[in-house]
Amino acid sequence: VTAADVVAAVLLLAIAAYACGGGADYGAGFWDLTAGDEDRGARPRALVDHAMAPVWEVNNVWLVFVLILTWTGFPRVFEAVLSTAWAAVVLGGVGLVLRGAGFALRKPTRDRVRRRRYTVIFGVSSIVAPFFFAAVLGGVASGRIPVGNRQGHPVTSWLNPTSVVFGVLAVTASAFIAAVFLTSDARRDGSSDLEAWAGRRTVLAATALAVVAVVGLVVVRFDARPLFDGLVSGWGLAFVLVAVVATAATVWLVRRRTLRGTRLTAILAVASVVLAWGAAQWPYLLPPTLTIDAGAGDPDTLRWLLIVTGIAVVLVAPALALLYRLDLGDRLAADQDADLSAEHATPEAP
Amino acid sequence: VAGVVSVLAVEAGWITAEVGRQPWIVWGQMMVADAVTDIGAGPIWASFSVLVVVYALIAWGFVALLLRMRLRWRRQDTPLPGPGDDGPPGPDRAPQPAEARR
Repeated sequence: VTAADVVAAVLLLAIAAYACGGGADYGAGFWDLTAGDEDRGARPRALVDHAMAPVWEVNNVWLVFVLILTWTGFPRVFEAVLSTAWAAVVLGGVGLVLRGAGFALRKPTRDRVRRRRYTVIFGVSSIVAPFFFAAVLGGVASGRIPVGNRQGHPVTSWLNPTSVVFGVLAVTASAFIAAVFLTSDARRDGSSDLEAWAGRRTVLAATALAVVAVVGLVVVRFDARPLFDGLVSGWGLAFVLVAVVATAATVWLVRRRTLRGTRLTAILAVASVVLAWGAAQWPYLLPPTLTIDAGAGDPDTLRWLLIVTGIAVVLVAPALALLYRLDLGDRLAADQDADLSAEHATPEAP
Repeated sequence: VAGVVSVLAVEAGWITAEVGRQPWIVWGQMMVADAVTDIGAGPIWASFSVLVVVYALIAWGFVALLLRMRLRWRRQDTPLPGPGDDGPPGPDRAPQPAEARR
């Protein structure tokens, strides 16, 4: 095992972490958008607000980490991906910025029309961002992003059957993990109607996930044969099976209303999908040509990158762990709501 | 004025550094001509314009929101008695005592 292998494994884990953490945020935006009109959607949106506000955009730490690992550890991959699929990266990035702005600007807005406008911006860009980020990975996985400066097609490198499968899968998986998290959040808040609301959406999203996965496998079978072969053999198959079992277990637990542990099974399910993709194209960074060893940066750089990663983990992990623990224990949200109610003690509109 | 000038100073320093190191992008290591992407000028302008428009819209929404919040807080403030009262925090706190004295 070389240092490059370790960096590649860390990179894959970071992408999996973003798929879970960022996915839960994106998915919450999806359910926020589809919650219905102002009256019907008011309580679900309050739940999403309450669930997301304390950890707002923290999960993008993972995205930054993924970018830094890629350009430091595998500069040729970074060059190839960004110069070929730049349009998808820009669209995803714009989605990311707009969803943050939409969410932040909606919170203090009282006017109904403006609130609806920000709700749409927040919701639509919560679908756009994960779709395009995953579409880029689909381009990588199907061998459409060749090594070099803008060597691939500027559009079909990210707009092709495999990329669409990856994009739709990302949006569906985000909706799934968000629904699971929101179910637990509603239970924590003690509102049984919202718990049922989110529980129904968990089952719905899991069903959609199953359909997308089956259709996706068929599409990939014809569009990117090497990827398909990797997914139905060896470690790729193992992770696919883990994802299937974890998703089924999550649905079973949610329907039984045994919510303890569902966050973990949902994380396991979504992370396994990412790991299955990684295992399927291992040891290639950019199939069908560039391997991990060939694409790796200077060995000294990689060694220092691992050291710095270790330091970052030591520094950031406790902070993140504390944040998530406080958030799950509802101790952050309580403070924030106290602030809010003091601030708006006499609102001029209901 | 200090706020605007400080931004100008930062930008001027940045431009000095960027222009001063031409034609190198990494001093002594790599020329700008070797580092530039093969993406054409058209797409670069397109993505740059998209970013400018998006950020302009966000800035507009943000400023408009701040102005509305100022109005809202001002309306909430007026009935509060006495200058020693702790009103809600906001950009309108400073002018409030002046209004009360009048």
